[in-house]
Amino acid sequence: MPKGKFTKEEEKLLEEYSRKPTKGVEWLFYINAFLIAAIPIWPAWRILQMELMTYGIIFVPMTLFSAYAIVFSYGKVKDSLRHKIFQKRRPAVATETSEASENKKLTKPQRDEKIDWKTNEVADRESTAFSIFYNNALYMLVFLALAFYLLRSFNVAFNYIVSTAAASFVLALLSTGP
Amino acid sequence: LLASFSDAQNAQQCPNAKATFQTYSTSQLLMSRETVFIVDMEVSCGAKGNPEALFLHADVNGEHVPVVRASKTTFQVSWSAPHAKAKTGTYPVRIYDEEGYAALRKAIRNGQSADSVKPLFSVDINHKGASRPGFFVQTEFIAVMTVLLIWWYANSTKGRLTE
Repeated sequence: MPKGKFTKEEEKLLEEYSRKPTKGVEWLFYINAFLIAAIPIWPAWRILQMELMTYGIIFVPMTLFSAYAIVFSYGKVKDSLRHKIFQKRRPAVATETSEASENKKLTKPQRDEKIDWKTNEVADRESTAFSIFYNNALYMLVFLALAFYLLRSFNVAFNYIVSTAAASFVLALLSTGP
Repeated sequence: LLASFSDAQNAQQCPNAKATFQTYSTSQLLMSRETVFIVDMEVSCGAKGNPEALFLHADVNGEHVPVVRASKTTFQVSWSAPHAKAKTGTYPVRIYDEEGYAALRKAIRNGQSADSVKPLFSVDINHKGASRPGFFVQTEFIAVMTVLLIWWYANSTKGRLTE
């Protein structure tokens, strides 16, 4: 085999255990991040009275910036939790897999491989969902606390920019931590 | 002699005086610093009467409040008080013509009760108190508390997962 080339099985293994999210998960991250990053526009428009057309030049770049930071945080939190969830869920998946009748004829290495594969899938889905849930909650908490309490007496444009930027920054910072 | 002659003239110029009232008092704290009380009244004097000849005075709980003429037949009484002093309750507004108001002042000087002088008209303002509109608790407080609780749950779950 030429150097640097992998067999199909090796590529499949790399994909399954790789930290890089799959295309489906990537799209899920982008769509969720964009929706969450766009939510602050609603209270800015309706409560802070920032007209969409007038302040669109602020809304668009801040939404894109926040969405980028949120996607970054999704990936980081997912990576940090995936292995832990794998370890926690493996015993339950192993029990379920071993009891399934179609798996009784498999050899131990084959059964272990199947358990690992299934546990990996479960851990991937669970870490993805939890990462989205956790980061969305944190982003909204920081934004609301800043926009409606700490920065309420400031100029509305300053309020929006700083509250969304700070929420994005806090998200990115905490996602890189332990 | 001249004063009593003009008072007699006023009474003659507005016999059978009747009035219809519209009252208002501040109900929202948010957009105002003081509570305002307003009484608008439309006075009619009968077929041969002349409301333009009337000069009116108002008495609210012993305080003299000027009566402003808005048009030939309409008058307005208004005053304001800080929100804390404008208690909930009924504010009796007594309207006197010049003769009646002079009699009221004389009675008060002589130590008599103000009730001894019958007003030309009287109306009560039922002030229900000024309050903040909406919920007792601010909406943003509810929103922040809700999101805080959700994040708290997420954070504790994350803690359990990473143990």
